[in-house]
Amino acid sequence: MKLPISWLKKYIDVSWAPEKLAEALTFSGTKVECVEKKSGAPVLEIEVTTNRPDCLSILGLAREVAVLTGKTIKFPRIKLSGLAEKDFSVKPPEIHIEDKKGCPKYTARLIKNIKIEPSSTEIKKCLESMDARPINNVVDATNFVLFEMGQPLHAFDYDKLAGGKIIVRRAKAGEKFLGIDDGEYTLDEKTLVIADAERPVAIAGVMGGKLTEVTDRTKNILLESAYFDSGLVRQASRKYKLSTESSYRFERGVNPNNILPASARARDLILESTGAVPAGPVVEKGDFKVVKIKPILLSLSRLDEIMGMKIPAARIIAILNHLEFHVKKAGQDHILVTPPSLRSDIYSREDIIEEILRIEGFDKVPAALPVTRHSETAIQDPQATGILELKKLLANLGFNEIISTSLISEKALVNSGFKELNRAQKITNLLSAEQEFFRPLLLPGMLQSILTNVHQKADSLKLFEIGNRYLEGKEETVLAISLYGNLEENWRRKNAASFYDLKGIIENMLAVFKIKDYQWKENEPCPKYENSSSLEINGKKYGTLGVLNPDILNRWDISHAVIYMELMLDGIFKKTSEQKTVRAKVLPKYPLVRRDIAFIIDEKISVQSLEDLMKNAAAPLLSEVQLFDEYTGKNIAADKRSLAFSLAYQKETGTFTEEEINALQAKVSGALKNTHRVEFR
Amino acid sequence: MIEALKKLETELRGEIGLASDPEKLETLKVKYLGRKGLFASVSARISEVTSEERRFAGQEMNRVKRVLEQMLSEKEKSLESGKVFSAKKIDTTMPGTSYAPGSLHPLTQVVIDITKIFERLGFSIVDGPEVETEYYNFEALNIPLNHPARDGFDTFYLENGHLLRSQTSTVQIRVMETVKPPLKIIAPGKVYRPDATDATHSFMFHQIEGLMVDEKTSFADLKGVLLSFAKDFFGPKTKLRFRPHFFPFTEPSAEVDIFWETREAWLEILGAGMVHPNVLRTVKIDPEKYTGFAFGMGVERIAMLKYGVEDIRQFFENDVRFLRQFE
Repeated sequence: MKLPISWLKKYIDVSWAPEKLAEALTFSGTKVECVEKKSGAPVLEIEVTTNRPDCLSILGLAREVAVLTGKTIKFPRIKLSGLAEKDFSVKPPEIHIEDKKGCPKYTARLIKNIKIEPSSTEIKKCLESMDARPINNVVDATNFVLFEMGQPLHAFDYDKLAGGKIIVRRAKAGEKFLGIDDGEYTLDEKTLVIADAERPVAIAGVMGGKLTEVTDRTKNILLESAYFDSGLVRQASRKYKLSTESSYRFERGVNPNNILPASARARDLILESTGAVPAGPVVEKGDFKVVKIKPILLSLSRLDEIMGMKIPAARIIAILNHLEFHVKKAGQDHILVTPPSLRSDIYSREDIIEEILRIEGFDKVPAALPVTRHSETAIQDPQATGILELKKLLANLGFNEIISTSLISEKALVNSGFKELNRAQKITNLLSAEQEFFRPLLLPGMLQSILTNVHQKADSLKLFEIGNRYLEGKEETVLAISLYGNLEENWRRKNAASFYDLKGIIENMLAVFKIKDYQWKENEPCPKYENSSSLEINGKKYGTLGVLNPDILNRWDISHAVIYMELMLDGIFKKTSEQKTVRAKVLPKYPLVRRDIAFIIDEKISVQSLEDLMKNAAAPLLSEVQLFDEYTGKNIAADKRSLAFSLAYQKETGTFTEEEINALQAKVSGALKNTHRVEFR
Repeated sequence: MIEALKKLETELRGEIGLASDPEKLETLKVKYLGRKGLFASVSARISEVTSEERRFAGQEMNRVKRVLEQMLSEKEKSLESGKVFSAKKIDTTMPGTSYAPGSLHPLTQVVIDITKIFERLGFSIVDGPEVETEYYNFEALNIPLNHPARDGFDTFYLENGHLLRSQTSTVQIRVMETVKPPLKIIAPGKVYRPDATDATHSFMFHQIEGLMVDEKTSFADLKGVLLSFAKDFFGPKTKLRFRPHFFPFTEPSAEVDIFWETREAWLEILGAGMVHPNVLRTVKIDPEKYTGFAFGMGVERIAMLKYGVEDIRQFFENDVRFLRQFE
C-alpha cells in the first residue's frame, strides 16, 4: 500500500521527515519497505499484514500516524445533508438482493445529467501518487474514495443497465461476462455477480463490466457502495485470476460502517466537479447487522507477566485511548477494553497486549533469561539426535554429505530403476516437470550428484545423504550412501572401491549404534543390482546394499561402478533407557590356540556356509572362524577358489594338548570333506 | 696420595667430554682404570700413607673408583643412545597418506551449531514428518481455510490430499499433543513452498523452529533467549531488534533483525512471537495457566550470510568442490 506524504497531509499535520515517519511506523508494526520519490514528492511503500485491513486506506494509516505523533486527524467533511439529498425527482433505482449471505448490504445512488470530464489537478495528482491512472471525474472519484477510506465503489452507466435495475445474485453456469479489462470470462454458479435485468454487469467486489462502464458519453450514473462476502470475492479473484484494488480489500475485510459515508463522499466529489445536478437519495438493501463488539476483560498484572515488563496503568489506558479503544476500569487490577469497530482483528487479550506493546515499543521490553523447571523425563527424540551423530560419523569416515531435492521428475525415477510409478505420489500443483514426484527413493538424487561431479572430472566419490522418502503413503527416513571410483587414492595406495568396503562401513556404523543382531541375506541378481545383499535387523528388512547394474549407470552416463545402499533409519536409534547395556564378561583364564586351514573349493559355495559348517563341526570349542585370504588365478581351476581361514580354539577348563587341537582340526577338515569337494593346501 | 686420588676425579671429569666415540672412550677407560692405569698407580702408593690415615685412604679409594666407573659408564650410555642407525633416508616432505577427510553439508553444520546453542539452554531436539495434513499445517496453527492469512503460506499438494509442510511449526503441534508443559523444543527440518527458484529462493529449504511453554513464560523471556542465541552464534557484540509483525499462530508477533558487525547492517533473521491462545487451546493446553513463545529461522539464509555463499542453488547441486570447502 502506498502512502504519499502529500495526501497524508490533507488529514494530519506531519512535520517529521519521511525517514523518521517510516521508522516510527515500522517499529510500531506498519512496515515501511522503502521511501520513494515520485516527481519529487515522498511516498512510503508500506507492507500491510493480512490482519490489518484497516490500514489499506490513507485514513487508516493516518490513524496510525496520529497515535505515533500525537496529532489529531482532520476527517473529510461529508455533506450528508444537502439540497441534493432531498431531490426526490430522481426515482431511486430498483435493487434486488437474491443472495443475502453473499451480499449482506447493497447501497446505490443515482446521479443524473453528469458532464464527464477530466478530474481536477488535485485528484489527478493524488491518484498518480498511488500509481493509479486518472480516467474521468466519475471513475476517479470512486478510486479516490477507495484509497482514502478503504471502501471499494463502482459506478455504472445507468442508461446501459437493462431494465434500470440491479440484481445481486449468483451467476448461472456458463454465463458470459466482458470485463473492463476487455477480458471475456465464462462464469460458474459459485460466482457472485451484480446483474441487470439481462446479464451480469460486474463480478461482485472484483471488476465491473465493459458494457456498463462510464465513458465520455455517459449521462447518468448508478453509484454502488456495498459489502460482499470476503470468501466469495476471494474465490472469484482466484478463479478468474483477477486481483484488483477492490477485490484485495474485500478479501481482507472492509468496514461496513464505511458503506454509506463512502457513497456520500464520492457523491460530494462528483458534484464538486460537475456542479449541482440531480442526485437521488441512497437506496439501502440488506439487513446487515453489525455485530456488537464484546468488551474484553484484561488483568493488568497478568498483562505485565506476559510482557515481562511493568507498564503503568495510566500509560496503558492512554495508548489504548489513542488507538480509539474504549477503556473502563473494572476493579483494582482489571480494565474493560472495547476496540473500535474498524479493528475487526481484535478479539482477545493477546491482541490488546500486542497493541499496547507495539506502540510502547518492543525494544523497551528487557531481555531476560527464563527460569524454567525441567520436565521429569527429558523429551528425547533419539532419531533427531542420532541422525546428527550418524552424519558426523560418516563425515569422519571420509564421506561428503549431500542434500538433494525431494521432488524429482518421472524421468529420473524411471532411470533409477523405479518402474511402479503408482506407488509414488505426484504433486498436483507442480511448478515444473522436474518436480513431479515426491521421491519414493533417494537413489535418483545420489546418481544426479555423482553425475554432476563426474562432469567436473571427479573420479572417486564417497557420498551420503540422510533424508525422507515417501512410498505407498508412508514417509521413511533413510540413509543413502555410495562409493564410486577408488576408495583410496594417494601415491602409496590406489584401490578401487568394492562391495565389501561399503559393507564394512555399514557394519562399522551399526556397531557404533550398538546394533548387533543383524544378518545379510544374499539376493539374486535383479534389474537394479548386479550383486546385492539385504540387511535384516531382528528379522526385518532395512535395506539393500549392492553394485548397481550397468544398465542403470548407462542411463546416467556414469562410467565406473557405483556401490550403493539405501538403509532405513526409522527404528534404529533407541532412547538411552532402551539401549542394551554391555555386561562385562570374565576374561578367559586360558589362552586361545590359533590354527589355519586352507583349501580349494567350488567358488559358488558361500563363505558364510563354510564358516557355519566349521563352527558346528568343532563346537563349542571353536570360538572364532575368520577368513584371511581368498585366492584365484594361477594354479587354481577357473570355477574354484582357494580360501584360508584362521581358527581360534578356546577352552574354559585348561590348556589344550597338541592331540586335542589336532583332533579338533580333524573334525573340521572331516566335516568339510564330507560336505564338499575340497582340496586342502 | 689422597690428593692424587681426588685429582684423578677432576682430571677425568675434564677429559671425559673429549671422548666423542666409543674408541676414544675405551682409550680413556684403559688410561684411568686399566691394569696399568692411573688409578692403579695412585692406589699403589697406599704404602706411603700413615697407619692412622690408611682406613680413610681405603674408603677414599673405593669412593673414587666408583665415581670414575660411573662417569665412564654414563658416557658410554650416552654415546650408545646417540648412535645413528644406518637406515635409508626417506623424503619426509612427501604427502601424508590417509583416507581423504569427509565433510558435513554446510546446512548441517549450521543446524548443528544452532541446535547445540539451544541444547545448552535446555531445549530438546525433535523432528516431524515432511508430508503433513491440512490440520497440522494450517488449522491447528490458527490459519483457517479460505482466509487471506493463507496467502503467505502456499503449499505443494500431493494426489492423496496430503501436503508438504510449509513451515516447521507443524512440529510444535505434534509435540504439544503428547507432551504437556513445561517444555522447550528445537526442531530443524525441510520445508517446501511453491516459489520459483532463483539465486535466493528455493522451493525446498530448511528451517529451525523453537518453542517454549511454561507457566510464566513472557515476551521478555523470548527476547532473552534469542539474544543469548544471537550472541553465541554471531558474536558477543551482536544486537537484536524486534519489529511488530503478524503471524496467525503468534500474538504479539515480531520480525527479528540482527545487527551483524561483520556486515555492519541489520539483517532479518527470525520470526517470533508469543504462542496464540487458539493454538494452545487446540492442543488442550490451558492458555490461562500457560503461556509460550515460538520462533523460526531460515537455515539457508543464515548459512549464506555466515559462509558468504551467494547462490542458494549451490546447496543442492552437491558439487564436491563446494562441499569440500566445509571439511
